[in-house]
Amino acid sequence: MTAAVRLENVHKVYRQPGGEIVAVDGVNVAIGERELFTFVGPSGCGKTTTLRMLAGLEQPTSGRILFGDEDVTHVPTQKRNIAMVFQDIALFPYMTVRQNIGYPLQVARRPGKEIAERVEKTSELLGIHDKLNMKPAQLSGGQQQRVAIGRAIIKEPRVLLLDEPLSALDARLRSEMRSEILRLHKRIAATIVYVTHDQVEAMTMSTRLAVMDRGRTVQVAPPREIFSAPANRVVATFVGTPTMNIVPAKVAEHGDRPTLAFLGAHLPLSEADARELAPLGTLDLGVRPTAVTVVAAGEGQVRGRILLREPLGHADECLIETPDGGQIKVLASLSDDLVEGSEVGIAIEPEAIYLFHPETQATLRCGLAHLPDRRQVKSA
Amino acid sequence: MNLAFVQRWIRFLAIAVGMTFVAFPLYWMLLTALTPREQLFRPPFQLLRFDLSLENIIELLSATEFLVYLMNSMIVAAGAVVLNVIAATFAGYALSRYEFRLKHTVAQGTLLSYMFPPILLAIPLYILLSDLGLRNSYIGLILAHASISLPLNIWIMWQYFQIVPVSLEEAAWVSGASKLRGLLQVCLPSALPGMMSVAIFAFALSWNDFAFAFILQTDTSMYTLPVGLATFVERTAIHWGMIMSSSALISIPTFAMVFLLQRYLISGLGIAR
Repeated sequence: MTAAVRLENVHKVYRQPGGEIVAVDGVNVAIGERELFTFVGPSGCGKTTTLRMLAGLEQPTSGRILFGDEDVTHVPTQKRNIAMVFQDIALFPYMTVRQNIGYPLQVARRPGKEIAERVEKTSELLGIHDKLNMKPAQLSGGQQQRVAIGRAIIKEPRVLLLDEPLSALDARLRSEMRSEILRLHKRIAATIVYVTHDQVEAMTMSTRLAVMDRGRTVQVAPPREIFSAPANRVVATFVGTPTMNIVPAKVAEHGDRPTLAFLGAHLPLSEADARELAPLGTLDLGVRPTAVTVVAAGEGQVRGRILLREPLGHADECLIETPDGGQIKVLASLSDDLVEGSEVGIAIEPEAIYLFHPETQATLRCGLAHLPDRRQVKSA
Repeated sequence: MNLAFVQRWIRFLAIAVGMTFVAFPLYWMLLTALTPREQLFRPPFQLLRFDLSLENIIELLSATEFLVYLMNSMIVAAGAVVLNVIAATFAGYALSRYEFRLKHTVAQGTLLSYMFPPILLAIPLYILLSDLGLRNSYIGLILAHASISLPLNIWIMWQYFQIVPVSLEEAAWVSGASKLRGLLQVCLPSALPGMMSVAIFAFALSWNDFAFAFILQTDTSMYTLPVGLATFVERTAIHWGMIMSSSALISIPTFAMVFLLQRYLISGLGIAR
């Protein structure tokens, strides 16, 4: 099946007097029809540049961009039949909301009656019907963003591009607008390409995500897979709140059995695992704060003492110090008698342990079982 | 009677004195324009006169070429305004949106012409325009006036366009608008105050120019108002009544323009800081 949007080996290099800046370094992505596909990553990772190349606002230095079967790499923005919602909203300040929303149709020289009708329908869909005669400056941030979305969807584009549309809004509004966008996605037949640095947005809204880092896509997968089977340490620590704990771990003999030593504890390791991992020296071990349980002192694999306890209402975020001097963050429901300074135990399921290569940061293990069958990470 | 009170009144007096220096010549000019010729040199030279007459103005309009000069000035000024607004807008847009080599050299080079007094440039310009066959023509004078007002106007429009975020134009392009359409429909409304300042500045400069008009226009039928005014100073007589009345009439359009559109001018000069 032909992908709705495809980026083939796209590069973007900026030539500066001081040297070259590689903003996008070989992105290869195929986006399916009606997917809500998100490019996510820290600032400067190249996600916005990639989106702008899809829009035609930037030209790739090399590579191709295809919409369906059509090579649009050199097609000007105006002719690509796309729509875009910008981070700074970009409503035309001297036009009314009605004129803003109707602008694409006006440019396309649609008859006045058609424009009026479609503007009515779109504004009703977005809940701004009563604001049609106002100017953008009279609206709140959330309302302005709805107008911008209206201007984008009114021409029923085949691809809708959203460039961090919610970053200018406050937290409560953001979660409201997230549901709005999801609702819209179901209503309209467009493929949506979304860019954000907020991993919560990316995880809750997307059909699939591409996690980007320094111009490259590190992993392209549905949210669930990104969360449970991250391709490397960058992806693993990027998604999930609170951030995944990363502690050093080594293969060591304990008793006369091979074990994985970390946080002052020893977890049994299969012979095969030990043979493979021992030569790598000190590995990075990852475990999510939500994947451990706090138990009574003496139970569990790891011993520790509570350094900090922050009640969040439904659970507590605790910083626990381990005998080897390490620290681990835990998100769990604690009984009230456990306070700062209390001795506790931490129980970690082997399935919750990730191991990362110390140099390449690639995920070596997604979950450890001391049974011969163990899961391995799927590649991107 | 405290310090603040005294300070305020001293400031008030200082401003009043300054205003007198500025306003008095204008007042005297108006007064003289409306005074019949016989009374001009007869004492007492009262500050307030009540037997005013329009005879100077009538003579000006009927016995001199004033109306011809007026038409010439209006044509040249209109041309200068149109040329300035169009050229400055496009140049300012290009400077604000595009990066190109020598960009800063070009921008700073346009200010070179301000290093020279107009009269110094007038002679070379005369030779240049003569070679082009534009001596003693409307177009030649319009170009000469534009050469003085355009550099600053380009800078003004450049600054104005920098205020308009590029994302507005990008939103227009994504909606299917061509670049030109984006410029006209989206950028220009925001840059309109800038264009008004450009128009006012270009008009004032052209309307009041003496040096270029004097050198470049060789035929009396092509004289503009300031040059025409100078002809009222003859070797044997100085026609004060005519000088003053024509000065008064000449100053009306510029005065009216600046008065009515002053907020655009102020924001324009502030922007080009």
